[in-house]
Amino acid sequence: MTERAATADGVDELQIALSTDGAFESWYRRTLPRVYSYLLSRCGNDPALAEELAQQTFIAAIDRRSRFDGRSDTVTWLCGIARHKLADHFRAAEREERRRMRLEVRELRLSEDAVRGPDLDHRAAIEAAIRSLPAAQRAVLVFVVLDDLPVAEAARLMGKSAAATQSLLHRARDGFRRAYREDVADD
Amino acid sequence: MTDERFDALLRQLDVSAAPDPAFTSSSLAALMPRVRAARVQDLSRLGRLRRDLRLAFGPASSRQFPRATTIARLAVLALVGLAAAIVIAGVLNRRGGSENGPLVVLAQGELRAIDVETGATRTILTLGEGAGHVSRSPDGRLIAYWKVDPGGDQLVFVGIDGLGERFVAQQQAMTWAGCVDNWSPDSRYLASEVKVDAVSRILIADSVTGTSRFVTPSGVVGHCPLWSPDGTSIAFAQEQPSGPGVLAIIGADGSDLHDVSGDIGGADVAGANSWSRDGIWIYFTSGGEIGSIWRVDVARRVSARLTTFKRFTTAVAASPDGSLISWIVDTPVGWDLYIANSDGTEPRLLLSNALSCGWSADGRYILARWTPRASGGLVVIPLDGSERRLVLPADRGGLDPDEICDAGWGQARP
Repeated sequence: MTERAATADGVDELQIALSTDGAFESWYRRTLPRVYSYLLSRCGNDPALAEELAQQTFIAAIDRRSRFDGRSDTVTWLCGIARHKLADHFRAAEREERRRMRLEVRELRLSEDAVRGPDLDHRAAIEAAIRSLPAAQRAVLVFVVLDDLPVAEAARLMGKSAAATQSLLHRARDGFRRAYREDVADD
Repeated sequence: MTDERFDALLRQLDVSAAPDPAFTSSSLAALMPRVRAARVQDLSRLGRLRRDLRLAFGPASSRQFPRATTIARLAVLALVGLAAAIVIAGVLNRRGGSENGPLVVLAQGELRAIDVETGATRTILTLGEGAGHVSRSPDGRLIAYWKVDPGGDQLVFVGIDGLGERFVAQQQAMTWAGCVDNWSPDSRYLASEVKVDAVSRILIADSVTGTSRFVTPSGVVGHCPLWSPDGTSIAFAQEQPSGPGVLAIIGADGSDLHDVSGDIGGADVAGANSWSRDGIWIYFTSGGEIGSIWRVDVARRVSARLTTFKRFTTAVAASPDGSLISWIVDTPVGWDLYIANSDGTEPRLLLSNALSCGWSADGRYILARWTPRASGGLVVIPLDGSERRLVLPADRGGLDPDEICDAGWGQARP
């Protein structure tokens, strides 16, 4: 298939999804779980936050549908939008932390229904360690480690310089190691 | 725990999950009116035309249509440039003393002017919370900073004396995108990377009129702008629809956008850092896990990699006379600041645990954020081998731990 043909197919998929209420519902029910999963695992397993960001993602996708160029499938495109929503969330959280001049440790509850992993205690320890980090450090781990983005791209998303982001990644890894060890030791 | 083990641990979080059926239904209902409105809009003649154009001229062709340049605009630009040159000449004649002018630093919500020769510090203005990303004009008369606002970040100019604060008119909501702002050589215009609808664009703000405009066309994603020494062009890292980013140059009026990086072996250009005063070289960095330092001969469009460190190397800055460059290297215990000849030869460690904040205008100092285990802060490092000077201690000076150096000294900052 040529690039132009692939592009047209991708754009057509979105166009068809928007063509009738039924088509949209079918597309939405198919794509939402993947966008939601992407967000949930990156925002501290907070279902309410993942739902809020997922909703924002779909609103942005509809509003910016003309920018979808069909080079990727629609789920990849949606996850790209979701990543920006996540970056906005982390930036807002970081600003809030600075305002309070203290680290905020969020008391997020694990949704038992949402967890599908084989080792719940182990994952809970990882999540607890992540949640104990400041927002900027959580963000850099999500983008660089989970999303596998280059540091420069993560820096752009987070509104920081590449050097500052690399430095932040160091601190985040150190912070995670400490928190993870403490958490495991507590258990 | 090794980085690999650490990353593997974190990736265990990446599992699938199903949203609450109640949320699925309620959010679907909430989205439907928006979907219907979009459908009506797309069925209009204009909507169909837009779609056809997108498919015809979309990513498969990726053509750029530079904006037409009017003679009137050029004439005005030339007149403004002439006027600014006259003003700069006047100010420079008046200033005398240190060529560097005051170092402007934002700490604890205060804009402070520091004379690095004497250590004298004065408060220019109290900005309070939500202000940051400070830069100072090369002529030392103006300061620019960004103010965080719920409706979008706001660019502000203010005189070095703290008077004449002016908010720049912005036609769209935007946020400062993380690259250090760069002043035009005539000290009139500020080039910034901003995000509009999550897309990075290059904004030029006029400190005289208080207006702003985008220099990059709407389809071009650009990062980290850098003015040419003659003030006619701007270099920046341009994202490509597919493939790694390139180093691009665009006229200050938005004309003649072109790629100058040439063959860099598939490296992804992260930003334009320094343009030599003679206009020949642009020093830039490539991103990825192992960042490197490069320079390109702008006229010939031939790039050369200057560093071969096994570790992430970034933040290159050329000295004002073009004879030296500095950069920083990531190490397991922090950043090391290096200097070398302008072609990358004879690299030597200048200071450990230090992040570069650029050169002084006279080329005698490098400003750095020094981060040893205890104390540290903003330091100036003389190139003559004399002892470094701590100009703002981190503990007592109230420096933001996440900002490398919220400071302006009138030079391009890496």
